[in-house]
Amino acid sequence: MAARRHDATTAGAAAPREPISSAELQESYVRLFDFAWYRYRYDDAPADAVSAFRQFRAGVREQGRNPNGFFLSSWYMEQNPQLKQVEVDPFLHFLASSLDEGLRPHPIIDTAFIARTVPGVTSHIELMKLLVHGEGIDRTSIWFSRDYYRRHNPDLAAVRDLESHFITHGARERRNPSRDYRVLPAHDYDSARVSKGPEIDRFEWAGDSFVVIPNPVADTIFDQIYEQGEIDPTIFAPGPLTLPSLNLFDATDIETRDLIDYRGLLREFRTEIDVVILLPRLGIGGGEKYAAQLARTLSKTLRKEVAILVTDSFDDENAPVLRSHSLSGFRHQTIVSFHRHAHRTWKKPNVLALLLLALKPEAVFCINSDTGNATIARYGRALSHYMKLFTTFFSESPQALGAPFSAIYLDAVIGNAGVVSDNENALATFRRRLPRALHPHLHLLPQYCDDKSVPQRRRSGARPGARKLLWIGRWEAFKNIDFVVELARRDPDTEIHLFSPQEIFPPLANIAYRGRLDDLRDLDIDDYDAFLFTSRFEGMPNIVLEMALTGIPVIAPEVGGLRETFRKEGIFFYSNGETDQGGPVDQIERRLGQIRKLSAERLAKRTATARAEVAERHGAAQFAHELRRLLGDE
Amino acid sequence: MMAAEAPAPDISAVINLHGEGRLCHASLRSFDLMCATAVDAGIGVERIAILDRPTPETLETIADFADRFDQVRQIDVGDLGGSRNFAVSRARGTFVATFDGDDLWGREWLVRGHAVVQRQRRKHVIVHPEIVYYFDDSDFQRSSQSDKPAPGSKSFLFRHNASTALDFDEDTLRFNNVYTSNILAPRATLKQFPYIHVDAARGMGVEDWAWNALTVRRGVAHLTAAGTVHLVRVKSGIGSLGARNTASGLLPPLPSVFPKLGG
Repeated sequence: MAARRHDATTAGAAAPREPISSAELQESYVRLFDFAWYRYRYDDAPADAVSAFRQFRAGVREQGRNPNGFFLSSWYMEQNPQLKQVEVDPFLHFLASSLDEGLRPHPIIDTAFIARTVPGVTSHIELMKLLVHGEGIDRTSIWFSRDYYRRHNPDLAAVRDLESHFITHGARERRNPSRDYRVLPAHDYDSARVSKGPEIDRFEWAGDSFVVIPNPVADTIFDQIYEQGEIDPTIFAPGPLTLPSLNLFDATDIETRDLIDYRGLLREFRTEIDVVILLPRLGIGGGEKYAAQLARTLSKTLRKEVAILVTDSFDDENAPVLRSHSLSGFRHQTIVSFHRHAHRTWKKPNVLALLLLALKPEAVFCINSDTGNATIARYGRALSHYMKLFTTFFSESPQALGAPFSAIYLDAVIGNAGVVSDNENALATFRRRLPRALHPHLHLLPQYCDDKSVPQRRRSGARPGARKLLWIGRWEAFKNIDFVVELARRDPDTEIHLFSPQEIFPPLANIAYRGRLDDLRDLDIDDYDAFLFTSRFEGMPNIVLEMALTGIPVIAPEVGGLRETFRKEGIFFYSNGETDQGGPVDQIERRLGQIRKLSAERLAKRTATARAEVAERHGAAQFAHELRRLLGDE
Repeated sequence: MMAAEAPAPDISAVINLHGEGRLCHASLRSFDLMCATAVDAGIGVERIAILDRPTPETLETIADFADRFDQVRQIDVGDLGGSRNFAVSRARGTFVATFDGDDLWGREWLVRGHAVVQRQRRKHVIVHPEIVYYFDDSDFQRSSQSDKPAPGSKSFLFRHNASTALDFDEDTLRFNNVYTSNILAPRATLKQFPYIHVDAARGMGVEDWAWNALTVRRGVAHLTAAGTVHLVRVKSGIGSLGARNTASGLLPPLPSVFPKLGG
């Protein structure tokens, strides 16, 4: 056996011990077999000590039988895999090994700690004798106190083997091993974003891993809390015995409690922000296009530093959308997924309000963001002291996901926030719902359309038959897609091409899905005879304005604010209801008939009228002017 | 001949009351025990009760304790920060400790807090209890009989971190009030840094949050006194003061304290 190295920290060791003789080893092996414990532990233990010892010895290696409560054979073999290669009795191996080798007989028995703190322990045999036959040893490691564990767990009065109880049950049940330490599942410790305290020890048992960390709450604190229980027993509400095991937080891990990544969120902002735009996600839709126009105008024309806060989706869901030309206004802006940092918290509006206080922008625009509207509804009163708040409601028609935001939030936000719409039709609806005193908080800001962003049609007249139609949008029920299908069914010679962000499986042979359209300029607009727009409800459908700008004949329903822009005979309107010309599909067929019959010259005149109407009402300069006025910059 | 003025007490212990009603009975008993412990330790304590627009129940409850106070002042301010500022203007102690009328305090708080604040060389310093115990009375519905909290238990412990600690990040105060209103500080500190007036009708509140942020920003050390505890009541269905502020849509006036983010 290797000679013992002298260790100054071995307080109990007066002098190095002589090597252990074989006889002493064998004798100790027998004497450290705890028959009473063995009978208590193993139901199949023989009634006499000799037979029990034989059973133990025969099964110590293969069956993992233990000689006493302080040596776990199977665990020891796992910790020392080299023993599996040789026929050796693990308990004998431990007794014969030196204290210097740092071996443990049990996860919570720290041989080095005991050797340092208990006088006279210079070998594993002496240590084991002390544990099995001795009295008065309290701590088997710096963090496990038998006395504390017994005292604070009155339900364990009948448990003889506290160490085993702790590793098999106590650690999982989060029972504290001593006053000054606590135990956590290693996964919780390792995955915590902030330090839970230094790792004091780590052990594995039955496939689970645990970490021991300091428990900084001293007993004197609990003594004082218990004393207050005599004044007000409410303090015992969670259970009188549980107080030391309650969750303990501090300022460094309060964000863990709140499930918010505050630091990550703050790191996203490198420059001072002038205007914040709140969006639920970066999809391709009217709201997002409007937001992109706002962002572009604010940054390019008004020279404001803009941040887009995406409130309800993750970055990776948004990234592909940024390739879309219609959302190019978002490029070169600060885009932050607020949702990524705060999606797990129960107090998202509160966090958003506090973030806005920290950013202290001049203005905030909330566009279709539920979290944003909830934040303004609750905290708008306070936020409006520091910034101008605007929320946009484009229409009061039910949207795909349920009630429109204006129905939910209009009353709660107006006054503290200005309400902006891109169409007068929606504002008229809101005026009817609101007292006159609040009407000055309603603002019209029509979207702008840029003819550089759309393809220009070269031909004017319709081709003979005029049977190729273009349809662009989200293939959803409220877009009245049944009209499209019905039209195709009635006239198999009419070909309808669909462009949509979602993949569509056309129900009829004369309907073709042509994919997603990130940039309208990729469209061969001359290939189509008319643009068909169908929708049950709208604010101001941006795609109709864009198509009118291309010069293609447009067939559209009288929805939202379209009549505000197209007041003359420009586009071909139909009604979503029954008229003397029949139902909507009948009317669409009639409009198609008109387009086919009109001479090239007259059709060109109509499309030019539509184009002029868009240019008149939806110019970029006009948009910038209105926006400046809204922000009080004029 | 003028009567000699009594020497200034070491601590003016100020309890603020408003609409606590019967709940302040336990608080006043706890306050009494804590003050008596300090006096037994040789610390001179001036007890002050500030009743800001008190409800009849609150007045009725404090009547049992009125003779234990050196000053009982009824005021019409309607703002906790303003009440505290008023108390400071009437306090005579070298140090002032503030208490909310529905909480409880470990008996050692004033003794140990005084020891910490007294040995500071800094002119301005603020001392907090080491531990805050938030006890939620709704936990009675799921009270545990063992030492393991029942699933869903809402009560928890919170440890105050000193602002001088290496891992203290003052930006945390942009999102969380990491100190309770239970403080002990030199009277001069409270005079130098009065509580910011907040107007709940205008959506502003949480005066102690803004005050903690302000003092941290101004370099006033927030320390903790080891072995002391503040017990904060969380009422079922109503929640903590923080939860009530959230429900009322109140925000702290932090932009007047912190610089704009990103600057």
